[in-house]
Amino acid sequence: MFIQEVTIKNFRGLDIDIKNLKKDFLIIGKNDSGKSNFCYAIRKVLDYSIRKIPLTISDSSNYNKGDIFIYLKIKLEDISLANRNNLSHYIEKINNEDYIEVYFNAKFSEDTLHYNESITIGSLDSKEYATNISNPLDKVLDIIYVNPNYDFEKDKKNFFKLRQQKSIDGNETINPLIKKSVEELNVSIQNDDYITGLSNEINDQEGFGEIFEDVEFKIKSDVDISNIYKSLDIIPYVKSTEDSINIGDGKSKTLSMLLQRISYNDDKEKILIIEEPENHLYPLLQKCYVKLTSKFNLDQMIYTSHSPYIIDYRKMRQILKFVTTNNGKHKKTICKTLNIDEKDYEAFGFMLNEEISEIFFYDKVLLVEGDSEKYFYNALSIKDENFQSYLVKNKMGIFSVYGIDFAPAKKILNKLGIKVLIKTDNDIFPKQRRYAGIARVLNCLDESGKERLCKILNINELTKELFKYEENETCNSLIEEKMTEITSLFKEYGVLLSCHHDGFEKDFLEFIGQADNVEDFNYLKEAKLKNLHKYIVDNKVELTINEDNKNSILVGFMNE
Amino acid sequence: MNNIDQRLKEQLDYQQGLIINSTEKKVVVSAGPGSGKTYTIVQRISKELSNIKFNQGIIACSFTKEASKQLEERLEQKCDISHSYIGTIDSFVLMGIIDPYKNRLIKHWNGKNIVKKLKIRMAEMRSLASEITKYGTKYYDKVAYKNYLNKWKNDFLNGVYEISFANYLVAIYLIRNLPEVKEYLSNKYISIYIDEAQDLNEFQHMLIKVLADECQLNCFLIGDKNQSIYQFRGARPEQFYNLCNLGYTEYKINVSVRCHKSILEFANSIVDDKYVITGSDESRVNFNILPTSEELSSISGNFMILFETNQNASLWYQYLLKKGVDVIYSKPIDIADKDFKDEYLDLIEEILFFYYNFDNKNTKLTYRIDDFRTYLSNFILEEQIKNNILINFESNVIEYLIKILSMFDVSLPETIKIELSTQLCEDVHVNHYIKREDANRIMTIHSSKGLEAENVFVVFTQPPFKYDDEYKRKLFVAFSRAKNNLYISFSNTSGIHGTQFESILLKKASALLISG
Repeated sequence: MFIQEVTIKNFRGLDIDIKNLKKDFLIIGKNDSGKSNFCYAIRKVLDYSIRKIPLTISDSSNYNKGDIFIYLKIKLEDISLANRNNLSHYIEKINNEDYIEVYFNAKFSEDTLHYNESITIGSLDSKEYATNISNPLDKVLDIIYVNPNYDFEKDKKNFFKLRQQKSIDGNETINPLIKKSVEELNVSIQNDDYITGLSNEINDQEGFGEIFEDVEFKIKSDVDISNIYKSLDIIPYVKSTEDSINIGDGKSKTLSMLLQRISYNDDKEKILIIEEPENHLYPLLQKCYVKLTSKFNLDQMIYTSHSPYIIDYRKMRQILKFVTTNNGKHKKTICKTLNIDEKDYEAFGFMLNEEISEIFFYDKVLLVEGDSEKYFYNALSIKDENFQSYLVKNKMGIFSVYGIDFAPAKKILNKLGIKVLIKTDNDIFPKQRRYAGIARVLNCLDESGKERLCKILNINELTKELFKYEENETCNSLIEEKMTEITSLFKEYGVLLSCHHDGFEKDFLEFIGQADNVEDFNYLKEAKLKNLHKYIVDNKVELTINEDNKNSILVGFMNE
Repeated sequence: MNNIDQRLKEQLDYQQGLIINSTEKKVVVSAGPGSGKTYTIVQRISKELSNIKFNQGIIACSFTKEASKQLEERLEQKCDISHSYIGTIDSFVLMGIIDPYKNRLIKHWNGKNIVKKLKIRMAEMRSLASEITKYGTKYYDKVAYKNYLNKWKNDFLNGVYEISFANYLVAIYLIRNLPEVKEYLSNKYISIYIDEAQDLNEFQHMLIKVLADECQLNCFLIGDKNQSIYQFRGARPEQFYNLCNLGYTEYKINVSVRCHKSILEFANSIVDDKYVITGSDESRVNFNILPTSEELSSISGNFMILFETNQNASLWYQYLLKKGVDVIYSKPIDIADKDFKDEYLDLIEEILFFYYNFDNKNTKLTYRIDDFRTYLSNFILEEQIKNNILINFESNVIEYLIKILSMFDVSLPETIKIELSTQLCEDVHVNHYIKREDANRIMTIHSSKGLEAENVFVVFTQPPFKYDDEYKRKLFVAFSRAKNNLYISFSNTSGIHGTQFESILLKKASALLISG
């Protein structure tokens, strides 16, 4: 069973309604964007240990003491028969699928200065439960919460406690020979001189004989096999040498997770909520960790993360981005959803990896075609403070699509509400006689943009032929004539096209004030990035934004 | 029970064992008087429950609240009934099927209300609903029927639930139209058990068929087709008979721990032409021994003398009194108004039983107030049974009757009031309702329902008007009252000797003794 829909009202700044959640999804967003509160809201409803902690004023958004509401729609899919019967008639059929709906309501009471809370299971035919008792859903579902700062002691204690319970319920016990030696141990303790000395001390007291008559006392040792669990601990050691060793955070955290994995009730359905799994782990391990958790075979896994290494496209087909907006006094969180399916993965050219994943964490992204552009902007951000602070202030990142089409990246980024700028060359392919650059970014215009383009070129319809030119010509004169208008139209749509057809190298030379230097231009064109790098280093080029170049195509967007 | 034949006990164990261990999915059991029906059901249910997993359970229904309470108590001690439903069939339909889905049904019927709790109402005793239940849908005006169902639906849309045959139709409707209901029932319950299944009406039979066929529940029905007494309330014993043709495997328990084997066999052979008497070396069925004072003084144990009419019983009673024989003659009250009698006689008699036995000197026979309250709850809601069912010593029996009947909104017409007052002044009537153990009694066959005696004398003064199924069932009831000895005699006065009737009985009895 997994949560498919979540509605939260007035809880710790969250007012959201998210539908069509998948079995495994990832939540990203800045700090204080509500990721943890979202997870807490789910735990408040489904996890008894959290639910019984009462809500206070601070749990209402902006301390407004208003009603708090949390709704979960849980899809039952592969639930076991025993659990299905535990949920009995609360199961709803919606579009031929089985669901269970849970409502949490809290109303503030001025008398107690706390919230009066209740949980309702079922919709039309429902039953209300107090929040401090267990309800049918508790018997069916366990929420496994993995703390961003792992708690090894707690997990260890839990593990042993559960094992002890299992051995009492079932018949798994420690070897009877051990039991026997414990009995013998008890006898030895009882017979120990010191211990018998103690009982003698009790029995030799003057004056009590009258009352006790012929009764005496002895001391009994009661070391019990079932208490043994309290004396057990888990110690790491090096296998080859059998030496004990201290392990650091990374391994401790992983051990903690391992113990959690084997410490829960098999009969119940399980939903895992894991916050910031990246903590204490270096990047490669972060990738492994996620692979591990996905092997748990749980019904649903909800991750929150700040790290691109956690995003694994093969597993997480859904990414939610929480964005806070500040309109007036109150901040509001909205959720943008990105569903990634097999086709998207292919369209990206299998390039969906952590480098691209990093993009998702930004608010604004500039997509460039290749290495040279990327190198330039990297260098600029190191050398020019204004540019650097602009990037930080706008939470902007610069990424290369390595020559693969911009469209899939733009589509995905827009879904996450990320603003996209595209820097592309206005290049012409002489062999095919095409304006390849413009054609490449044509779909970045919407319907009205395309209409305006038609108007500019005085035509009725945009066709393939439009961006070509005749055999005996060197260019399309109409397009050339209107080039300025065309490029400014595209600029409105975030596409940065130069008017010339000489590519990034020309833009670069214009930027550093060497626009007309033909020799340098040819040099750069010869071996793109390699020569660019050499050129900058050898000539000690000043990469700064100044009065002359601040409106150039490369950095002009900063002035918007 | 102490005098039971060891052999008989073994046979009973064997027959019960077959049933308890049977594995067919649809089972019907005919079990006669004293056959340990409840014991058999309890054993079979606990066996089934011990093998059930996945939080599943069974449904066990009886007809009266008393019976289901008893069943629940016995099962609680033996197994885990937390996932099972034990109650009357009406309450299962309400609490187990309709109530959990009430708002979804309202929505399905395009209603707008949300009902937190249904208001329960009983159908009035003489209403259309109870008529249809009695006589079935075939004999009823289709328009009236449809109108009633529409009214029921409208009431329901407003949160009112009337207990009537409509409940079963609605339950079937839910199972067929809301797939979640069918899934819920099929997943949660494995089997349904019904006790006193001979009294199921046609609507209840329909529901059971749907539960078996569409929800894949195993069915186990146990009853005694020879003791159906609720036909006037719509019971369909013939449907019970017919279950064998619907895929049910039939089992019989024909061993009784009340009657001697030969008596039970004789009674069975009368009511069932196909019954084959197995016979033994002893027959307790005797002919031509009239209950004269000499005869009565020579037998051991108490006796019961049965006549067909009150006139004959009364005459014989006078004769025995003169001879100083210790015997009680009693007859039940009678009400001239047939309609009133059909509806209310059972209720009135039960009130009388309570009135005359709540302080019975024999504590074994005391009618406890809680049990009376449970009886009343079969017909009216708990809330309506106010605390004043206690008997106020100032009032007389008629006043008490009126008080209880008013809870049913039934008022006693003046004529009937007078009729009853007169009768209840007479010992002969009052004696009928005072329970006595081991008393000697004389009465009509009809009145002997539910009683037993060690020796029973049945005296026929005329051949039967119509030797049909109903008459045969009457004979079965009469003969199965006897625990140890049955004496059948034909009084000389009306030429009954030599009739076909006499020879039928003699012939059947002759098979009781194994020749040789």
